Amino acid sequence: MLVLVLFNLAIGSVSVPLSVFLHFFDAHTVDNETVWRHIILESRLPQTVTAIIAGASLGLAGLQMQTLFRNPLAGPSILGISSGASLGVALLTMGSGVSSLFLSSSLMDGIGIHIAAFAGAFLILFIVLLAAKRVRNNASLLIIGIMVGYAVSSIIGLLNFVGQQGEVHAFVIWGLGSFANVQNSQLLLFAILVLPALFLSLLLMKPMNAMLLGDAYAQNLGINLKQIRWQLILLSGFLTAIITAYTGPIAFIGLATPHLARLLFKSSDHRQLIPAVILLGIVVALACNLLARLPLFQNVLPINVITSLFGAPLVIYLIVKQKQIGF
Amino acid sequence: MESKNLSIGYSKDNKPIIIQSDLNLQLKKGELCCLIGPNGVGKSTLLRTISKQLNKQKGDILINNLSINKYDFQALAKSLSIVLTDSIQVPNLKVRELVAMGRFPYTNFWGNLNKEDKEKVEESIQLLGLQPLTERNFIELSDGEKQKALIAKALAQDTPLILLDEPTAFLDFPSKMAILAELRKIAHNKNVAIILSTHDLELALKMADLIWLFPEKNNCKTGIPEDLVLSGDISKAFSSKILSFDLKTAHFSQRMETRDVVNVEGNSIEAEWLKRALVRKGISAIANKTNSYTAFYDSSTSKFMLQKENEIIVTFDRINDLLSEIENIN
Repeated sequence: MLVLVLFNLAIGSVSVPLSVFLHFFDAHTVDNETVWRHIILESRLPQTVTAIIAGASLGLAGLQMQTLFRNPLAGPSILGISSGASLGVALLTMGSGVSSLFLSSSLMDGIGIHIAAFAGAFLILFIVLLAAKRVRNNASLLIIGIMVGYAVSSIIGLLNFVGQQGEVHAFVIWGLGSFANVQNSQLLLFAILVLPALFLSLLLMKPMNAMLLGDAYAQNLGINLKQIRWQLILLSGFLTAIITAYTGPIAFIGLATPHLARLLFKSSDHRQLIPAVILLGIVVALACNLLARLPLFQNVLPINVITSLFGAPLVIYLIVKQKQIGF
Repeated sequence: MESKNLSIGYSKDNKPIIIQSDLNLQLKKGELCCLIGPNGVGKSTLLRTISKQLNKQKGDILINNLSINKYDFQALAKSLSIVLTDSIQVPNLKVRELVAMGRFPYTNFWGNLNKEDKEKVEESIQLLGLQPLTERNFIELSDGEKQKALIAKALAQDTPLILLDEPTAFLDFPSKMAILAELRKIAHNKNVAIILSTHDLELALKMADLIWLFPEKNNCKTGIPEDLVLSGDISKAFSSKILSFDLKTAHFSQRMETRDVVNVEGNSIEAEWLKRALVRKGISAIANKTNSYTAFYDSSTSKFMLQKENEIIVTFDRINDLLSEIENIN
């Protein structure tokens, strides 16, 4: 992992000489080196930290959804929360006829997008939590989440349809995800929002283990089903909402990391799985970020291209090799 | 455990649907109780009501003389454990890990096992004879082994009451016997009360200390198996147009229209199986000299014989040949 962090800092579309990179932490630098220094500190460092936080959170959120729904296909986006974020951003970028009246163009670029995504994601999370309170059955809740996702997607489709070409393009680019959208100045808030949710998730290892056996057995082992369901949706939804707001919807990591963890650690015990998905989520996110910026591509590739293009065959290979998969 | 004027059922569109009412049941520690009855009479509903997965509609259930209303989930987890037919599809769940899950109500915040927990787990594994399987994945076990592992888990939960929903479903006959014998041993030796629902009436009559019989409607009977058989309640509950219950052997047999009567002589094993074959074909086989046909088995030649009135005797190697001969004559 450390190696990946170093590579993430060292490699990019502007090549920084290795000697400079190695002497990076020496204070005495000449003019030429300050440019490189700037690239590393202001661009690659926040990007690396963002990848670490996002990878850990998405892996964990995916595991929480798979355990809650006892479904290997569940992921952080299953309840429509990332679609909600997309809706917020779509409204901002393509509903611009209205929004540009209120927002300055600089706000449209950076923080404005975070806020819009944030609002959209939390709106959907709120709807899902309301539904969770009314519906007792997890399968019904899952379907409600997916339906909300569809409904939101169709609104986005409509916005795409009426939007101007430039706006649609901007939205599509956002939808491809990026770890590079978080500035150093925003990093602290990002971490402060995410870390408590990560920590609270660690406290649910024992009840999550009981949930593997199904609702009836879990309840018979003394688990308060209502409470744990509420906690899992809230934590997973919160993590997904924050991450999507800052990086755009990141595909694949949240769905695949729990499977990687189960296959590699040969365990379904959450006392091992939770640290494992956090670790593997970080590794996968850093590796994808690195691949996206390898100098052999002319440009920096969107992160979702990498996660799905390289990740999917890897997971298929592992599944075929293991011949079994579960939640 | 006991129930007082208990009504069970479920709510549909906010209207209660009662399946059984006025249940006054009692079960003491150390007893194996079999819950029997046709499909849809509320066997599973009763078990789910006792374990508080369903709300009771009326009346009360007491465990250790305390109403289940007074138990929260954690207290209930230490008072009763369940074994269900729901399939568990967790990959990488070792048998020992599954049994250890029974210790959940007792372990600390992180779920770590202390010395006592580990001892209980090993004891349960040994009682069910699961030692060779402890490192195997649960989902790779046979149905019978899975059932045993789940019972071991319930046992590790260390509760005075164990509920099992259809533990013998999906098992072959020897495994059914083995599971029930195991459960009876546990009830008697560990002094726990066990309630299990089953469709295997003959097994239940043989193994249970107590029967709770749920016939079609609101007419629950309880008692030891023998009393319920003699009172006719068992045959009343299960007999139908096509099945009749034999009081002597506790077997069910198919009711058939009998067409012919064949006199079967002898008491050899072969003669008994010949009778069975004839009965299955709808031919009444009784020892009565006045019949037009007589069939018997000749042990010296190992052949089956058939004689019609005073005609010559026809011999057959197999029962099947004899049966087709009778069909031909008719």
